[in-house]
This record gives sequence, C-alpha cells and structure tokens, in this order.
Amino acid sequence: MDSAHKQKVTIITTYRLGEDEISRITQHIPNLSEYEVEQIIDKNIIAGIIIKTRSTMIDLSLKSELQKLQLMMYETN
Amino acid sequence: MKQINQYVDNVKKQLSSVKKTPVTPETIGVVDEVKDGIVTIRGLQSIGYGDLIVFENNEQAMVIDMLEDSVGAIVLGNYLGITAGQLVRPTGKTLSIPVSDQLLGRVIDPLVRPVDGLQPIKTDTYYFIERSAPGIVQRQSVSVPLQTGTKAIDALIPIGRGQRELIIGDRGTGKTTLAIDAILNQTKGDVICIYCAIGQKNSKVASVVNLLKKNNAIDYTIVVKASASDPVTLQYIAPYSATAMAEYFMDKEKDVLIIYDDLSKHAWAYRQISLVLRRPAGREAYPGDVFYLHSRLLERSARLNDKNGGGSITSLPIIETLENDVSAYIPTNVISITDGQIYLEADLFNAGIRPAINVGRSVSRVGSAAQTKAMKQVAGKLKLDLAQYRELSAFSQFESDLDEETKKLLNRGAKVTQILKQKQNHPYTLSTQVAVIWAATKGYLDDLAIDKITLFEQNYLQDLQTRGKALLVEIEKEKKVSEALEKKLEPIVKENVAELMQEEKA
Repeated sequence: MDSAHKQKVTIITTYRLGEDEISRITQHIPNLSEYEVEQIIDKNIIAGIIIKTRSTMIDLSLKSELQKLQLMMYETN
Repeated sequence: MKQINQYVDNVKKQLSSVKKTPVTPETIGVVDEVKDGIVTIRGLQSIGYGDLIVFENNEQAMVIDMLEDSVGAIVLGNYLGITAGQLVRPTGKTLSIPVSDQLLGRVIDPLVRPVDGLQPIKTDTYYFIERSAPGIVQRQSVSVPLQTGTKAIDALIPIGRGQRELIIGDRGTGKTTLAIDAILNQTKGDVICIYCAIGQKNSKVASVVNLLKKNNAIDYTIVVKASASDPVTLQYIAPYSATAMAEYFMDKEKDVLIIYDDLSKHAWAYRQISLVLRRPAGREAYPGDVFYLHSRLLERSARLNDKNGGGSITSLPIIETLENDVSAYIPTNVISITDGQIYLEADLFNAGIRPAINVGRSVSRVGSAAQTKAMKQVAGKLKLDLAQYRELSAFSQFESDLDEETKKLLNRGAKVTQILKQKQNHPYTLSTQVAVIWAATKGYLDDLAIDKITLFEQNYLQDLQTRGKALLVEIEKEKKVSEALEKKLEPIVKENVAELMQEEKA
C-alpha cells in the first residue's frame, strides 16, 4: 500500500499515550505499524481506550461499560 | 455487618483477580443523513435485514435497506435526537416484541408499549415481528366457520377460521363497523380478536375502544394502534407486530381473528419510506415490492392441522377505495392475495341498505366449506333468489308489463334484500339468522309491504325468544333445519305476518 494512502487507525484515550504504551498495543495488534496512527484525547470516555478503523471499533472505555449497565438496569426495571 | 464485610472481600477478590476483558472488535457506523424517521448510515457492513441497531441516545432502529457501503434504517420512536455524525452500533438482535396473555384487553402500540395508561407488559416470551408463514405441511383446509354475526356475510359470503377475507369499499361505507361487529359477535370467548389500526385518526381508535368496552368485548381483544400522528415507521411495522401477537395465540392452539384497518394506509406508509430511501418508484409511485409487502403479511394467516395444535389466524384486511375504483394498484393486489372480498358500495349505503354489501360482487372462495348445514340449507335458496332478482331488476326497468313469474321473482328479491339489512353493533346468533332467512326464502313475507319487513323481523325475533326458545336452541345444537323444526317455525312466522297484515288493513 502506498505510504501516502495508509489506512488510518484512531486511538481515543483520556491522555496522550507514551511510546511504551503504544508498543504494548502493538503487541496485541502486530500490524499496527502498517497503519497511520492518530491519537485523539477525549476526557468524556472517563477511562480506557477506544481503537477505531473504518467501520470497526474496539471499545474498551469505561463510558460504554457504564452505558451498557444503564441500559441493562433500565430494561430489567 | 459481617455480611457487608464478606461482600466487600468478595468484590475485592473479584477485582484483584486479573480477569481479561474480552476484546471484541465491533462493527460500527456513522449517521450520514436523517430524514423523516429514516436514517442512512455509513459503515455497518456485517448487518442483516431486520437487525436492530442502537444510536448514542439509546434510540433503536431497524435495518430495512442495504447498499454497498451504507445502510438505511427506520427509527422506532423519536428520531429528533439523532444527528449526523452519531455512532451507531448493532445490537445483534432482530426486531421482536414481548407477547403474553396479559395483552388481552390492552391498547398498545406496535412495540407493545401501552397507550392506555396502564402498566407495561412484562414477559419473557418474545416473538419476531417478521416470521415466515406456516408451510404446506403444517396447514389444513378451512373447515370451521367463523360467525361474524352479520346475516348477509354468514349466509352469502361465509368466512371460515384461517381464511383471509378482504373488506373493500369507499370511505364511510361501514367497513370498520362490519369488522367491529365481527369482534362483538365472538362472545363465546373461543376466538381472540386483534384490531390493528394503521394510520387511523386517534378519535376513531378511541371510539372503537369505547365501543369494545361498552360491549364487554375488550376482554378478549387486543388493540394495536399506530395512528396518523405516530411515526410512519410504526405504521409500517404495525400489521406485522399485530400478526406476531396473533401467532403467539395460534401457537397456543387458539383461534384468532385479526383486523387490519386499513392496508391502504399501510401501503402509503411503505411508499413514503421507500421514496425517502430513493428506491425506484413504480405504478402510483409505490415501490416494486409493494405486492410482497401484503402477500407476506396475509400469508401468515393460516389454519394449522391438529398435529400442530390446530390453532388459526383469520384475517379481515380492510382496503379503502376512491370512487369505487377497485382496479387501482393496492386494491387489485390485495384482492388477488385474499380468499375473497366483501364489497361495500356507497350507493347501497345511501339507499339505506346497511350493511351496504354488494352481494353480487362479493365472494368467499373457501368459506362455503366451513358453513354450517343449517345455514347452507337456507342460504342456497337465498343466493338463487338474489341472483335472479339482480338479473331481472336491471332488465325490468325498461318494461312496463311483466309476466306473473317475473313479478314474483322481483317481489321476492326485494323482500330478501330487506331481510338482509341489519342495524350496526347488533350481531345475530346463528339460530336467529337461520330463522329469519328461512322465513324470507320460504316466501312467507311475499305479501307483506316492504316497509313492514323490519317490523316483522323485530316482532318475530321477540316471539322466538319467548315462545320459540327451544327451536333456537335446537338450531344452535343440531346445526340443521329438520322438517319437524320447519313445522314448528311455520305457525310463528305466519302469525306474525298475519298480525302485521291486519294492522295494515285497519
């Protein structure tokens, strides 16, 4: 793939990740280096991490967990 | 205190034991466009038709359109909170509704949210709103009658359990009344009724509910309401949702009567959705699959064989025509799907013939197999009388002097037409229907003046209720008219006729 048209991966966290943290993510997703990595800082997710690429998302944020809990409580109510 | 400590310890242990969070990549989409309840979403590749998706504000939508890199979905509820750019997630579920016996007597929307101000329905049983119809192996042919309580229908256009009989006519010809009368007649409690209002005025639905309550019919009825003010998406799913409820009861070996009021407005709702989704428009701007829209719905009406419980769904879809035009797109579609139609005419209605059924143009393709013997005995003659009357009445207008035979036939036809008149919300039992029609077809009313027929019927029925109770019970039980019975009915009819004739002379 042409380097100018590298696929973009967005990582959303509450603070800017350091080199070692990114390398730990790369351990789980070995081909991450092939992508253009963009970091977004969003305090709204409270804690955790969201990794997005095109229409796939790995959501490991506290916010979504809380939302799931809220929905569950509402439904069982 | 000890318990709390134990609990805290437990939680600590759970938290300290490093449990790996399952990392599952999920497919997401981004809202592209929001237009009138329909949302276009970019992404969401691995999703199927009918899947439920959820927006950031927890509003849900059902996928009904899939393109190469976008999907179209209809929002089930309030779409005002959805904005472009919002994230969308699949829920992994297909649209289904909770079903239970608690539904009886309730007024609900297509997603089973109460609109009668009572408690929500709680149950663990869910049914898909779209389910494929029972196959050939599970079915048996229509054989049990569904008494509508309307003389003209039960005698001439009989409806059997599991049949689909269309009620078609212009606005204000009594379509809904006819259908509601059929619900009111199910007092024996062996038939569960569902009234599905699609795109109706709220005031009309309210008056139907009040009527059902007044006649104690609400206890065995469910009203599913997607009125004109509800989102078009709810109007679209309403009949499918109502049928899912019917299927729940059918699976419980019950007989169900379902009324779709009306499918013209349902087609309009679907047309609107399709046009907003930019699907190619066909005849009358309806999309190409508008036939399948109704055929897959009505095909779910069935009579299951005994091996499969023997339950049934009888449906009475209603179609509103404009200026008696039955050759418009939707009417012809639904006519060809159903097992017959009841054709109501404004001219008849205005001429005072109510119910305004055009007997000549109405048919029931399978119902005669389910008609009771008693009714068959009297209806055969009735059909012949009416057919001859129709043929001659047009013809006789041009001729001044008619022979005796023709005059006799015309007279009989006029009387029989009168006897088929019926007040609204007054369903007749099988026995009273048979007794009344028997009197007319035997020619006992031929000498009576036309305007006295209704009076005769009233007196005669009153007489039967007091003197001839045993006769009515016999018809109801034996389901046939024996010679002995005829001999007993004859004097009662004759006395009543004579009484009225005397009044006339005096």
